Amino acid sequence: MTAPPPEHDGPNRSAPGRVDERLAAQERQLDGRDIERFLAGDQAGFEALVRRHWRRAYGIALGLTGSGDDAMDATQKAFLRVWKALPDFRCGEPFFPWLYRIVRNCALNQRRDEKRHRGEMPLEWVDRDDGRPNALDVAERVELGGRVWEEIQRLPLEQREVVMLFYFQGLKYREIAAALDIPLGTVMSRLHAARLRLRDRLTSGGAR
Amino acid sequence: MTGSVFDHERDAAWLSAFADGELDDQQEAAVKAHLAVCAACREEMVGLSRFDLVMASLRLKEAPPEAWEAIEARLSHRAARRAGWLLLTAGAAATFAWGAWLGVAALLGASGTPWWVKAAILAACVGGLLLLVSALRERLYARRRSRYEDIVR
Repeated sequence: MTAPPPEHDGPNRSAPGRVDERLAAQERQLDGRDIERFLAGDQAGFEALVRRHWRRAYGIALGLTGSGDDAMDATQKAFLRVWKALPDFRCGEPFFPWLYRIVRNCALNQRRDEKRHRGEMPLEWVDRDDGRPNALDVAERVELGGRVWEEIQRLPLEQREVVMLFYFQGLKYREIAAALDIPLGTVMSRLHAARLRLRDRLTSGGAR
Repeated sequence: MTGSVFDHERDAAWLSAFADGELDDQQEAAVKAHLAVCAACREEMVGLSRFDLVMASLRLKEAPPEAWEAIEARLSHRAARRAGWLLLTAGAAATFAWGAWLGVAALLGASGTPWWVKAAILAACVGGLLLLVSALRERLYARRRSRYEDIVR
């Protein structure tokens, strides 16, 4: 890694990409309303639910399959399963953890089904907010991004999932715990182990 | 939470959680106190922060613009297909039931049919009905008890 070393200055309570509490609560309320509409026979409720979650579902599938095409297929299959299983959804419970498990299963099945498309790089660099040029040139960015992705893919599934949800879905620890149905301490230890592993592999030049 | 004193072996993951602002007040105080006296952990924190800087600069590519149309089309086709299957199944079941009833009634009403054949037909009808009711009850029970059977955790 060639980024300049930052000084450590305590916990980061507003890390980029974190999900805002108020928005999350609002989303849960909207989900509940749309599920009730769908269960009452209004298809528009389901459409609203899909519109709200499909990008996130695609992101999850992309993170697990590593391929845009596979992610599309997995997302479509996942929403078909949601459509079928929604009458059995326990109203009042948060929708996202339930959706996550369905998308995860579809994505992992898709990954088993489709061995093509390997070698895609589904990560991209975010431009700096302050408009200053990034410390890395384009070639370095591509090379580093590729290595990061490659090393993420080498992580055990249980660590990879936590990394994807934390860094690329912006979930908090307790939201990850709910989505994966694991204790908070397990999220903490898996994420820490994954971080150390990724950091060590990236700083050692991508050791195989 | 495992206590207010930081232990390298036990609480290593607290360093990550501290950087993410995910510790409770007691844990956070323990990590702060430890960082004040442990150069190795301060160095670890700097390494983690550097790694996070790279990760914060990366994001997953957005879904392609045509993705929504593809999802919508597939879902709407499936909805129409499901309605078709429901109608077909209901119609076929009603037709079959009516035909079966006519056949059984004709056999039972025929004067030339031996009594034991009539008894066998009745037994088959009652048996079939019991199996149907049993299967429906089992399905309803499973639906109530195991709502997430479709989901592998």
